[in-house]
Amino acid sequence: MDQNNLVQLTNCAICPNMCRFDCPTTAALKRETVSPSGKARLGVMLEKGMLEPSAELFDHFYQCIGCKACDSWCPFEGLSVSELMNILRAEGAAQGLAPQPVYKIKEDLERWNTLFPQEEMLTLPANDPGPPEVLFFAGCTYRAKRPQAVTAALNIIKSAGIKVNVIEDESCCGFPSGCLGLVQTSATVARKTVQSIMSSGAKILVTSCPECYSAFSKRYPEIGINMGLEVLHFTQYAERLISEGRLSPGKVEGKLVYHDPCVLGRGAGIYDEPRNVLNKIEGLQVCDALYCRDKAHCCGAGQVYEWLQPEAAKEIAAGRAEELQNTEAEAVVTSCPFCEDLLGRAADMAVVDVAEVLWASINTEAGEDFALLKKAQAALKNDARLREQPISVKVDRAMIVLEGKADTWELVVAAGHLVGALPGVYSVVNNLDTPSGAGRVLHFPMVEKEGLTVKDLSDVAIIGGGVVGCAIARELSRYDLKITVLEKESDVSCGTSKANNGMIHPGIFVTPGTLKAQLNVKGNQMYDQAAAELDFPLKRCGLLGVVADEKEMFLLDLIKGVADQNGVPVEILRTREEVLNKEPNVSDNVIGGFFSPTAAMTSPYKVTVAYAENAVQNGVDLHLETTVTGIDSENGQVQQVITDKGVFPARYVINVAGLFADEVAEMAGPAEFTIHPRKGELLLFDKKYHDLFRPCMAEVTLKSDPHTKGGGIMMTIDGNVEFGPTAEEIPDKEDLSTSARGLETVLSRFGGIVQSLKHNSLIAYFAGLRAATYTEDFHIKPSRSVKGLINVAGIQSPGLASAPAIAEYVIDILRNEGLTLTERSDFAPIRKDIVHFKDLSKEARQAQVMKDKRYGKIVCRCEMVTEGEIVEAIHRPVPATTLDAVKRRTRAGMGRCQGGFCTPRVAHILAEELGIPTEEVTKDGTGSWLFKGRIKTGGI
Amino acid sequence: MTYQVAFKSETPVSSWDSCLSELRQAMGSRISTNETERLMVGKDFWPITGTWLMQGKVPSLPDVVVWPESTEEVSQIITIANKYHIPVIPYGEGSGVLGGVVAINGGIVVDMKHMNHILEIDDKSLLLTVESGLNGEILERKLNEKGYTLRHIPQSVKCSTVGGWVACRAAGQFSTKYGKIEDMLVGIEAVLPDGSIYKNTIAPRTATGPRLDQLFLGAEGTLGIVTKAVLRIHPLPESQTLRSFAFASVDDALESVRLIMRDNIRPAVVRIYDEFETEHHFKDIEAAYERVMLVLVMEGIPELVAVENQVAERHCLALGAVDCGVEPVHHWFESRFNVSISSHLIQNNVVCDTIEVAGTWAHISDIYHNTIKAIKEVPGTIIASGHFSHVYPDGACLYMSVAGVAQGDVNEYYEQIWNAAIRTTQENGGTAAHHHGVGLNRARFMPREHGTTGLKLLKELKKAWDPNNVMNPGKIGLGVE
Repeated sequence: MDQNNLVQLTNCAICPNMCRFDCPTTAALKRETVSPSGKARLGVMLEKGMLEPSAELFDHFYQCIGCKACDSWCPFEGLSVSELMNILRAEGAAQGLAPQPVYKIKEDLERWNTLFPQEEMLTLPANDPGPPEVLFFAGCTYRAKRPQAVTAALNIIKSAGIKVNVIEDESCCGFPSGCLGLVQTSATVARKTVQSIMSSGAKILVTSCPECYSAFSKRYPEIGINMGLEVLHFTQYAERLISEGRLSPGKVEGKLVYHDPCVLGRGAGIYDEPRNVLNKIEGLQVCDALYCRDKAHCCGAGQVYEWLQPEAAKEIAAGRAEELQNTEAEAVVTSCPFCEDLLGRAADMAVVDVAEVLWASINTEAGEDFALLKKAQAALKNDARLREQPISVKVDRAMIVLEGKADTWELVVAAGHLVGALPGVYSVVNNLDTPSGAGRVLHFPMVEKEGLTVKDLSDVAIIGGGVVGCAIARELSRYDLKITVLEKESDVSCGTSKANNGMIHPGIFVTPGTLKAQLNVKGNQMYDQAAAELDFPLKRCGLLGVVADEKEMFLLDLIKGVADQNGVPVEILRTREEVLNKEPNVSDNVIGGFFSPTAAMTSPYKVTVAYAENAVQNGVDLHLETTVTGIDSENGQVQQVITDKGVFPARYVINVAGLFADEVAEMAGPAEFTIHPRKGELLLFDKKYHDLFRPCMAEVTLKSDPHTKGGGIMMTIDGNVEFGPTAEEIPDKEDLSTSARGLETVLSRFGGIVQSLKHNSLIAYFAGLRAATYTEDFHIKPSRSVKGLINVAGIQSPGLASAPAIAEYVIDILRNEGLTLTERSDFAPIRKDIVHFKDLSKEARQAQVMKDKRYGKIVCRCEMVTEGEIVEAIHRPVPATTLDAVKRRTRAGMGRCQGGFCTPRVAHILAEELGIPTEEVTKDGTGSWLFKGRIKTGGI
Repeated sequence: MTYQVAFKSETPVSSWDSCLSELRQAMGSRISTNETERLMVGKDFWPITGTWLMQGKVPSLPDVVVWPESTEEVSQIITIANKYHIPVIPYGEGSGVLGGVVAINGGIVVDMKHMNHILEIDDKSLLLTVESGLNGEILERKLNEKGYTLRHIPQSVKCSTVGGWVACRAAGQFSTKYGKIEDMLVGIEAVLPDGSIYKNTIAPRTATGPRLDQLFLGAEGTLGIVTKAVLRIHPLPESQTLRSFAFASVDDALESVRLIMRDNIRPAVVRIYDEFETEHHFKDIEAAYERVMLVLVMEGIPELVAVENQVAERHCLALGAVDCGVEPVHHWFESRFNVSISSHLIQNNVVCDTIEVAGTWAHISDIYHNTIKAIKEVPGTIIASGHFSHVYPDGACLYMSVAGVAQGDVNEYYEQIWNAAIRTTQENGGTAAHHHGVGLNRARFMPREHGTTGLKLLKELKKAWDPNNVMNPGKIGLGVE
């Protein structure tokens, strides 16, 4: 250290630490050694040879965030503690005595020339030809942590009609490494940056990043670099453009608090320009925190302090966040990527960039995002349960992203629903955590691509073999395309499609104007033709809604209103008599209701199998037990789907992964929606009540959950009375558990609609999960970040009813996205179901037995299923290879005894037909083996 | 080790390892034996130690630093120390100027900075309960945010703690109206040398025998560690009037102020600068040339301030003072925390210090004139000047600034100027210290200050209170034979 600096260091060391009260690291760490004067004294002792250099000693010199708060109280002319620390740091770093993270940053900078790897940073737009008026330097931290601010700043400059260029392979300005004592590294990256800037031909250099600005305007000239152009901070440039009349800010309603970034404020004296720019925006009020301008407190992120001392940095950030929150403002506005990143995580309110606000005032879409952001925050603040939760909100093209924590899973879901219900929301990404860790779990670890077989190129790969995936596959098979369906389970219809009540909803409980309403009504109408072509059971039994409380009779008018808007017929029943005319067996307290004639019942898995079989008949490749673990894209275009069974190149990928659709989408790009599972429990009674009533029935009441139709009682297509489903928000996408208490709830909730059923006739109690988004509408949209990926997500009730319409809707999207659809002449729309022996006439049964005597062997006595049917199911285009698959197709095991009798028989037939040992037969795929091993020899 | 340690422990502790392991168990991660941590709490801002730093010498190197978070933890620490007879030195922010925290026998430094919470503000009674490790400026800011003020603004307010104020009987710049720390202190919580916890009943006054809580005022950690304090606060003053007058002499200024106080007028700030300091601070004020500046700040409700202003002005003008307006007061407000000069002086081999004493109106003029003269007579002295910064109905505090270049050994010179200042003050009827305390540096003046009986009583009290002499041994003159 030179003599002048040593004098300054000694000045500081002998001063009684008059600035210590304002030092953020001292406040956080509470140690004498890190107080400004304490650090200086240790520095003096090092320089005077009183202390040996050591990592422990140098660590103290790194406990400075360069906020310069101490400098503002310092009576010594030209003394800067942070600058003196940088000199000491350089001595330590050169001797290998800096803290470990410093060397990691050094390595990173040497490898990438930036603080972050390329893939974590915004790709800057290509320059238009011609010489630029200005060069915009985005800065690596802005590109990694606040890309929307870079885009906003560029948009603003362009909107002023100015030719602006960027440096395509922008490297670091050298500021962070310079602060860390990495003198050589800083010089190397800075040299590269200087060359790029000087060769740009621009006369003005603009940057939004205070660190970059400080490097260009102060550090470079100090070390003798003259780049020969004017250096401006973005806010200075924006103020100039406004004053020259080249830029006209528009309107943004709201109240923001401006946080002075230390490097911009105390570091560069830029206090007024950001405020002046913001004050030019009509409708915007900008206020200050109690400590502002040169007295502003640091956010804790200065000089990449968070990478060195994450806990202390967060503590400092929490303190500053509190000060900013103690204002009337709705959000924080600042102009530094480090502040925006750390404060954004620490504050309960949004932290936005000056450029974003300015752009929001100029551009309608950005303005709408900003308005939505404020609405979302207001909604969270106005909710008593959520007010105190540390939740931060971001909005990107109407997509709301929630980050932070909530105390319970219920609050996580409540927050998602609250913002999801705001008008104009595109989707909700809910990344909230809970202290217990209840929340999203990643289900699909990446597999090594090396060694996987690469399959032929598909035109369309469909991920997910539920009813919607299979319907899309079948409808697409009308066209001349190579189509692949990837399903992780051993059969189609294994997720939400198998465990629902089988109702084809009429479209009277869906909010008019939603995609759900549109596709529900249309899908319902398409079912007759689908059933006719694909030979699955369908019964237009109608839906009878009943009212038991005089005060709730008004709901019938609301239902009528919705039905009319959706174009669905409904008959309002004003008296008990009118209800009795529709169904005599309603309970005594029913006083009115409605009848919706278009409601129908089907078997959801039979619909799915039918679609799947017809798709396979028409050439679709169905890959069962094939788990998708990744989606590769190149230049924003989807390339291939990685699975545990090989790589499937595809031009288009349709993500119909049900509960896992969000995870699958995130394999390809950033999250665009979040699925939260909603459990529904269902009860099945013995068939002895098969003639108890005819239509589906539901109670019309205000008490039910707003996000489900609340369940009801149905007569399944097979003649079982069914109660449910209930609705319960749960964190785990694989939790299909049921409980005795749940059973009681279901019985008491739905038991009142019809005259009582004997509980000893209850034969099955099970649960399914709805794959709900937080907007509670279907999310059927092309991915915004990856071209060729279509997300078909959030398909909850009435997803079954909507499936045929969804398939058509998706095909329209594919067409819009550029897929050429040429109709095939050989498309075979007709698929026949397997023979159901029980339903045949006596003569037909006779003939069937004559044709194949296995139809004469009854395997399942409850449901009268023959061996012939089971064998047929095993050899269908979509083969039934498990006990459950056989069950879904034949009903073997679905009767009163629930497979108690026929299970070993079916297993034996499966073993024989598939040519495998009986021990390898499974209930529903690998892992669910039925038998442990043989205990004695001999056959069944 | 490539530095000298001025005060080294001479009593080896045989059971140090078990003491340390017990401390570690009690403190978890909030304990350190790192050399740098120990060095930084082995000193305060005793000016001569700045000179020592230039010579490669540090005051002391305590054995361990602990950072308790609660009174109970402080109690655990002291209990352990008492068991092993190891010295305990409480530490706030180390702004003392007399070596009060120097670990002359080594030991455990209890850094109180984690105990920095405001626990209660009783608006009705205007009482604040605060942990003792809180920084003064942060406390004052937090009170101001809520519309209150403690108005204890010593020059060290930005670098000292509540506990430190109590320990050394501090006084702030606004003390003439709002009182010194003893006038503000209504109660304490403290850990005694045996680890037990003492609290007094909080009441505006009590007649229940001697007030034990007041024993901690000025005890400088020798009787225990104050962990909490209950202090009187005030609503922020509604109005403020700034005045300044230039007098022909120090004595005229003192006389005016005496008469103002005699009329029961209580300006918040009263400062009289002698000719030298007037020239140094107010060289731009023409009317003050070769005169003595009096700075007054009156504050409170407007009606009261108006009366105080009127009476004060009358007394000043009656003694021929020239009204110098608000400019000198603004200058004082702006420069009152600037102590940069000592860093410059020390680096240029100048020995410097500030010495505050007090005396009654009957003696204060003699104390001023004779003491300044005595210091100036010490060979090598360049500057000896004074101002009066705290006044009372019965007297005033004289705050002297001294600088000089040692002709021989710096420590010897330093001793000489202090001897000159304090002995002359004592000979002229004054007290050896007004608000900085005793620490190590003033210890030698305590026999004269307390008298033989008084010092003996203090020592016996300490022995009864702390038989193993663990609490900050050797300070406030208790180590003087």
